[in-house]
Amino acid sequence: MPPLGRHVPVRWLIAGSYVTLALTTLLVCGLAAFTRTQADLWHASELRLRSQAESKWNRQPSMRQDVGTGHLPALPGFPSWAPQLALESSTADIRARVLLPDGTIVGEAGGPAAVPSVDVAQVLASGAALQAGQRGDRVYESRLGSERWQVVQIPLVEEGVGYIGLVQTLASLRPADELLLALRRYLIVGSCIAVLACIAVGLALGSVLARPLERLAATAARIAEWDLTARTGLGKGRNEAYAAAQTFDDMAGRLQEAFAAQRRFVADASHELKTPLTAVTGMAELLRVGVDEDQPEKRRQALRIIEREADRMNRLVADLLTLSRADQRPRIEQAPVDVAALVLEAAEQARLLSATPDIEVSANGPAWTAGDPDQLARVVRNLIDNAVKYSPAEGCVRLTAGVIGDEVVVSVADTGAGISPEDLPHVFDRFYRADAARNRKTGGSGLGLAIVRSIIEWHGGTVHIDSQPARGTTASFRLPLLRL
Amino acid sequence: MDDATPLRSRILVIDDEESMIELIGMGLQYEGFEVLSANTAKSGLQALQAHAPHLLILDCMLPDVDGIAVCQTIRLTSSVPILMLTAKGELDDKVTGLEAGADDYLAKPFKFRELLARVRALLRRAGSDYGNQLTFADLRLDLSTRAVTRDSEPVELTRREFELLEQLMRRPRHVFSREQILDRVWGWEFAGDTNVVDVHIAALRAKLRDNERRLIRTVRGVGYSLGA
Repeated sequence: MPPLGRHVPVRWLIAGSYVTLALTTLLVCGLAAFTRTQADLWHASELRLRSQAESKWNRQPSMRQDVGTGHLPALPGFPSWAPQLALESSTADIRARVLLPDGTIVGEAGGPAAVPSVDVAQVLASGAALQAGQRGDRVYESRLGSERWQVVQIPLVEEGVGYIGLVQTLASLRPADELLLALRRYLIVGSCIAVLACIAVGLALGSVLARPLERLAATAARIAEWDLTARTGLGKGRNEAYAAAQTFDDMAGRLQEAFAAQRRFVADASHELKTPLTAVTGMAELLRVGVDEDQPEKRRQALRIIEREADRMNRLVADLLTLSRADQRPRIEQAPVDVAALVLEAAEQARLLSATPDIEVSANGPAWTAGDPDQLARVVRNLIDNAVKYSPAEGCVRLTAGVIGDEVVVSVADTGAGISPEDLPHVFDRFYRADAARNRKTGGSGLGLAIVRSIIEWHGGTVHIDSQPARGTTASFRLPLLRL
Repeated sequence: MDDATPLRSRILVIDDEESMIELIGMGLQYEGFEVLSANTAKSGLQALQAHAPHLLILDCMLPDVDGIAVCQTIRLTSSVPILMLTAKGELDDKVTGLEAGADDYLAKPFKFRELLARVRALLRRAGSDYGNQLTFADLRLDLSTRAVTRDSEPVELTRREFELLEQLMRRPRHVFSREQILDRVWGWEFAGDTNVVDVHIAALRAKLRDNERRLIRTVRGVGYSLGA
């Protein structure tokens, strides 16, 4: 099931939740206020009507002498004082009625001209309640057209005589209803304003959130279409969405750099191959058209160049393969390797290849690390080759190998011309040549130090190069120590 | 001085790659040019001043100064035709090179034949007579108009016949084998019989009214040469 809100824009999600929240609050509070007010108004009106009905009856004991008529328990003089009781129980807005137990009006006074008629069912209900031993008071609502009236009805019970009739007081609920209507109107209008405000604030807030996200999505889409220069360009911010956009920009930047580096590497590699390729095919072409016809030494020269340039291509391709293999970071054969012994062996081989410059070794072995012995030997060989290449014949190459703390440290120092400070940070770059002319003549592929770095980093180590112009260069690497 | 090579065009090659200098030097010398070389921009500019070459072949990647910058520097003072060599075949590089003042642009790897053709075209375009017209006795061959005249009378030749005659006229009295002619005129891709050379030689002799075979001579067992 897709997550909720997957197809709803953020701004509408936020606005929607705000509206829901506001409406729920308003509805609960409004309903409570409305119900409470309605009940209070009803109750206040009832109190008024009840006191009006009860007080007069209690204050008329002397007038009950002529009560007594009909089928009800007779009380002499009742119907005759009923109009008086009604009159005294009424006010300008309260109608008072005195009724016989069957609902016949025997006295009526006060209030507006039109009032609801007698609800006989309610009158009989009071009688029934009295017979069941209850007080028989009733408060109920009557209607005059659409107008609500409140009716309080109290049975008239004479001591020793019994139930002789009822007194009713009625008042219109129109003022209360008007108040409630006004309240309802306020609540509705207030809710509408609140909802609109919620939508506005929600949308605004949503935009604040959504804008960076939208920009992020658009930028990501451009990058997906290989426009690696695309950035959100939103700048820094403590807002999480902006922080995400900033992180995305940083990532896109690194991606672009990585792709550029890759493209540059391929271009450089093809560039490095094209020159020897041109020389080989060109020389073959010249031999074919007969450039050597009178001069055998020309044929030898051409063949020598072909051989040399083919060798160069061969070396370059081998280095490219080594580098690409190291870059893929295959699982290292985790064999224990004594790096100190490796350095001693490499120095021995280097001395065999060239008598100068002098190579000195100080190795405090054994220095064990875990790794691929062939690859590590390659690293040491490349570093020694470089040092020998750049040292004058009367110079000296110093090798050290040993353990410092929990690291195996190897350094190769030469007494060559050194590397200028602006070239130093780039010497591990592929095809970077600090001095193009010298480098090419000495036959390097421009990949030696790149291979060193790739292999050492693949073994979890670090490489470092330090140089002082005219004093010499020291290249070193550190590998994690293997405790046996 | 030989009549068919009126003046030897002097070409300066600036390239830090020893093998490129050797290749271009050997090839162009064989084709009758005088070749000077330099392996840095600095020494190249000095050679340009000192020897005033008719054409400059400049590599894009030099150890001291960028080839493009060298090109711009040269253009401040000289209008010598410049052929730029580069290992990059990107369009942008070509545009940059040409905007910097290079007259032509050749991307590595290239065939020597193409380099040679471009060198000759550049020299022709530069308006110099060097390599523009070839003459031998009363025979005249104009490379820019591709017109051939003998004794001031025009001769109509096919493309192959023209190129065959051009090869012979470039090295008068040099004996070319049929294979060499096939290589130079038809190219190594042509996998046919050397008889095609004989057929074209015969056609050429007829058109040039060389009935006594004095102009184009047959060297028995070897091949052909122009004159003796």
